[in-house]
Amino acid sequence: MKIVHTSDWQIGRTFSFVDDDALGALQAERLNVIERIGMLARAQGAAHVLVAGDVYEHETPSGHTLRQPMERMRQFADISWHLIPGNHDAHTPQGVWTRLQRDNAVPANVKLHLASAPVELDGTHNAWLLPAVLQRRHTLSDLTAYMDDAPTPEGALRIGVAHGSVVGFGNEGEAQNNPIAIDRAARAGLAYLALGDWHGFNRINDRTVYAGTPEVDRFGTGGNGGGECVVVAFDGPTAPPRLSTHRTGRFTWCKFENVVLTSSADIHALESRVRAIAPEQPHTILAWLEVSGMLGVEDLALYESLIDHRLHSALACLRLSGAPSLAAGADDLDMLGTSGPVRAAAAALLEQVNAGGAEASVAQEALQRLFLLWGEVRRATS
Amino acid sequence: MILTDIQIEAVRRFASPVRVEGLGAGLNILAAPNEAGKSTVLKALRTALTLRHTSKAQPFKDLLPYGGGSPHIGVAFTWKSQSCWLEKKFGSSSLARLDLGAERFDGEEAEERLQALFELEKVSKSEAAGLWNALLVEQGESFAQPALQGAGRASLQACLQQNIQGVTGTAEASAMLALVSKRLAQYQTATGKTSQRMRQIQEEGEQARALVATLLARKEALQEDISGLEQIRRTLAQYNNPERRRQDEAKLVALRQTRDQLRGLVAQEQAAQAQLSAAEQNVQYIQAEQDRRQTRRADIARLEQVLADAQSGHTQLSLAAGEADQKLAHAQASHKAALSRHQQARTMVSRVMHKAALAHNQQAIAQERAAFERANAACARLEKAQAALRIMPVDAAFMRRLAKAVQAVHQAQASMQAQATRFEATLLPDAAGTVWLNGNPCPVGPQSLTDVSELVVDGVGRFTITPSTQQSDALHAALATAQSALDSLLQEVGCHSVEQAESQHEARRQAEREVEQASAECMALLCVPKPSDITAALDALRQKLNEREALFAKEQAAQADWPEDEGTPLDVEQARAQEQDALMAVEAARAQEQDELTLHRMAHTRLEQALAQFAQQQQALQRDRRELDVWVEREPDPALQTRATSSEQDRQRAQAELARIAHIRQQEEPLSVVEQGILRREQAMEHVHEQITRLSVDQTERETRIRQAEGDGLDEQLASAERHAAQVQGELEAWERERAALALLEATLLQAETTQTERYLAPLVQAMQPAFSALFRGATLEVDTQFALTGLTRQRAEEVKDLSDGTREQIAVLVRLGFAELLHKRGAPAILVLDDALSFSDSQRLETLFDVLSDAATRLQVILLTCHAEQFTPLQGRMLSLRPMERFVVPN
Repeated sequence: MKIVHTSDWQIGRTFSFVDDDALGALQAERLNVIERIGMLARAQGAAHVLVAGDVYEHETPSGHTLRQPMERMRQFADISWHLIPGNHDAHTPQGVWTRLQRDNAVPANVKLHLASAPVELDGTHNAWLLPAVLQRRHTLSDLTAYMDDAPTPEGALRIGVAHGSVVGFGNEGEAQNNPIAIDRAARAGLAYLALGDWHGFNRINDRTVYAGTPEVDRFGTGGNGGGECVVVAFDGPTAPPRLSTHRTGRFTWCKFENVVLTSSADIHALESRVRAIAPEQPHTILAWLEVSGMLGVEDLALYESLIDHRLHSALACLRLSGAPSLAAGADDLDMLGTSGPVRAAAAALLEQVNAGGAEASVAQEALQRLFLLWGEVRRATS
Repeated sequence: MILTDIQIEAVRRFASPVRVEGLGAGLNILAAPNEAGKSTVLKALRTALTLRHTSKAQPFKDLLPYGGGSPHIGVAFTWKSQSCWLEKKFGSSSLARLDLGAERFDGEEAEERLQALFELEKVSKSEAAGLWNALLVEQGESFAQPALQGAGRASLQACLQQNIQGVTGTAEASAMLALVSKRLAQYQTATGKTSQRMRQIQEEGEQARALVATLLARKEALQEDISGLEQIRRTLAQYNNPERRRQDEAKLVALRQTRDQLRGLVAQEQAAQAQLSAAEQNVQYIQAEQDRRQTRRADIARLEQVLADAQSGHTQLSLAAGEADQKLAHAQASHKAALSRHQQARTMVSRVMHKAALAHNQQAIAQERAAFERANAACARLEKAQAALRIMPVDAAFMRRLAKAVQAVHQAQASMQAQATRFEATLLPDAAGTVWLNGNPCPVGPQSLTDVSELVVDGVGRFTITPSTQQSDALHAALATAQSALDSLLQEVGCHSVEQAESQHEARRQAEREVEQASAECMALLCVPKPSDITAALDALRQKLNEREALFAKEQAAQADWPEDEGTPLDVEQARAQEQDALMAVEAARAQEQDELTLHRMAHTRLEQALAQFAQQQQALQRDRRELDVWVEREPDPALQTRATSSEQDRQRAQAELARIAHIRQQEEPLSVVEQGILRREQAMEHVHEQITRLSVDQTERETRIRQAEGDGLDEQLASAERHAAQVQGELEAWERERAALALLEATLLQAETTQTERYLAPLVQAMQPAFSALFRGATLEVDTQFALTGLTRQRAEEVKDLSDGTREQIAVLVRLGFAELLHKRGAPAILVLDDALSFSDSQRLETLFDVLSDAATRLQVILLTCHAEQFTPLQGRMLSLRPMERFVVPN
């Protein structure tokens, strides 16, 4: 028997740092990935997909957003989709799950597990599902504790599914909310505990696994990165499950920290590094560059050209923190001529930059623009 | 550059083609009357250079002819020995063509080449501008110096830069400034205010933040609705619990049964209480009746006893009253006798006192008689003294008159002495008796001689001395008159000398003192204030004395009729002592009578009171007897006793019933508690009903709101709004950074450019100086960095703005001429066209200006448009004319 384990779809998520076009693409891809999961299940021969919480980003999504994933799952009538609430979409009064039921929006092949009690998953394999249900965003108790004593038929394949933070995993700060015992699978006799909350794949032990989000939604995902689903194969109620991860995400999120630029070579290298993430599909890359350094006038123009303009247009999103500073000196002023008002203005600005203080950064920007405009003027007159 | 031909068609007043004929190098003058079209020619020339042929903007509309048509302008000029042709047609069939020698450019290319040739810069969608705007001076523009910006400024800088070593980059700086200003205009206005786009972003940011706040509020409201809805549902479930409702109703039924039982007991209790009250009322009434009868009978017995006692008391009181009557009569008689004795004593006192008064009167009359006699004698002495005084005539008045007469004589003598001749003889001892004056021995010492005197010296001779005074006669007459008056005055009183008169006057004053003394004595004796009252007072005293003596005689006669006193005659004191004794006896008798009278009244009062009380008691006794008889007749005593026994039995039965009911009620809850319990439960059930209704409505409302919020996707909206707000804020911050950098860059560039400009202002001044020196001898110029002439120093520094209109116009024209010269010197096309300028200049200045313009015209073309042909005749330039054409002629 096989299942597909996924979590943290977070349909309806918005991204403040991307432009509107990229936002639309990212949001659309979070729905499209459901189809890829369904296809994966079919391809792997898995009749069940376990979604370990946070299907939705918001407690009160719009009706359209609410029904969109249901309709995507409806397209896979041969697959049973098992959903539990997460901290983003806890089973609260008037929450998303109540709305879905009230509006009769849940397809037959989608099972909402809204009570913490064993449910038969597959009669053929005597497989039982033990869901842990969050009824509010945060709890301080371990909702999987009931699994220890939850009755299932003799010889049943017990599969737990929960949303929270495993305790004793070096994440005590996060684990204060919605804690899950790290040895829950062993104590409750679970063949597998499918977890959600971490957005990157994370294998806690042989039977306890975070699948991560199927479509990455942040630069720091935790774990081994997101954009994957886990296919779990069971050979028996006690045999260790066999895991395999499968890429489902379309976009690649990558953060480059402490990028120091001092020369044109650095600029070219940076562009190459970013493009290398997805050389054939740079439009699926979301890159966050933390840039610093000092560049000469020419190199700064190159930076603007390669990074600010060219790479920015190539990627789905280029997020820049910081910028290289202009390293203009007396030699650089010579390119403005040996005399004249422009050179005099540049010298005055450079003096302000070197003087430091609150005005220095503005003077730096002004000087940078002077050199850029100088180039424009020279090109226009030549 | 030389303009050689200008053709205009369908431009404002020129509907048909017209040509400016006669154009050539040097000075050109188009003199024509007003409204001949001079200004239109200049406008057409300027438009051909600066307005794009495709323009539909206002400058194009300003060109349109009055009758309609497409403005068509052609300008022929030579440039670098080439014949050039510029042709533009505006409107529907627009056209632009520029022939530069053999090269031809059409349309946009022609426009671009034109702008490059004339160094123009695009300032709007359809217009370009440059230094040429300062050289084609339209009517009215000549009064102000040109304001140079953009390309115009750059052109001039290029002119100056060319000639000054080491000054470079001004063109690039201008270009950069233009770029910076253009970019900065996105963020702020020329005055530094926030641009409209920036404001839009700021407003967008505020709106975004407001939307976030609104959505957050809505989310809070939604959370409240959700929690409230759950609470309502729990409450409704509790209210609608059937088991609880059944229990409430069963409890209510039981309470109502208890209440009904208690109400029955209350009714029974009330009935028993009523019976008890009635029985007690009867018992009390009967008891009261019995008590009343008993009391009444006791009263009757007491009254009968009192009346019997009163009978004996009446007799004793009557006897006491009779005894008091007798004592009163005896006391009254004693009082009357004492009064009689007292009257006699008073009569005796009266007589004794009368006699004493008569004796006193007799003594007083005798004294008055003696006083009268003294007064009378004094009056006689007074009359005698007065008689003696009356015969003495020398009184004080006479003496004053006499003194005046004596004084007049002395004055006359003194006057004479003053006029007299002084004579002083000093005789030797042997000469005595030998010298004689007026027959007398000559006195020794000074002498005054008033008359003719004769001095005889024995043995010597006779000397006659005649005083020299001229008034001698008058003085002698005055002395004689005075002496005569004195003598006659003395004769009036019979005196022969003044001393005698004075002696008589002294005798009179003695007589006056005697009269005064006698008069004072009389006034003192008669007690009068003035001497004139003396006689009257003496007569009145005499009459009064006579009257008193007559009255006394009458009283003496009356006393003689009184009876003779028995025994020893009494004096006044004795008589008064007897009268006092009699008075005291009267007082004692009156007190005795009063005491008896009081006792008499008391005895009779007691008797009357006893009689009155007796009568009242008799009446009360009769009334009590009548009432008792009525009571007994109405209900005899036995019947009353029977009724009393029956009522007591009723009362005891009612009390027993009440005790029984009270015992039962003690076993149950109080009715009020039961009723309150029922009421509370009924209200609670009613409240539940109302609550269910209200909560149902509230539930529906909350569900509606929740559904609406769900449908809106509040969280998604909020996330979207927060994203939008963050983006706008980021954009705003980026804009602000950009604005600050550009503003700093602009300011720095401007400063650098100004500094640079200052370096070549001197050459600019130098270029303009010759023309200015011709007009303003010895003047030095001050030019600012905007290339405007700001000051002129002749004997003293003067600001241009303070000069006269005519001078300022002359300066403005010379500045424009200077610009044209600079352009020309740099090898750029340049001419100067002035329309109706210099009309305010005086003839001397105008002559000088003509010289300056003529000199300039040797280097560049100058065209003057004027309506004052006679003024500009001395210039000797080419006279132009406007000649109509059949059609627009394009040169081959």
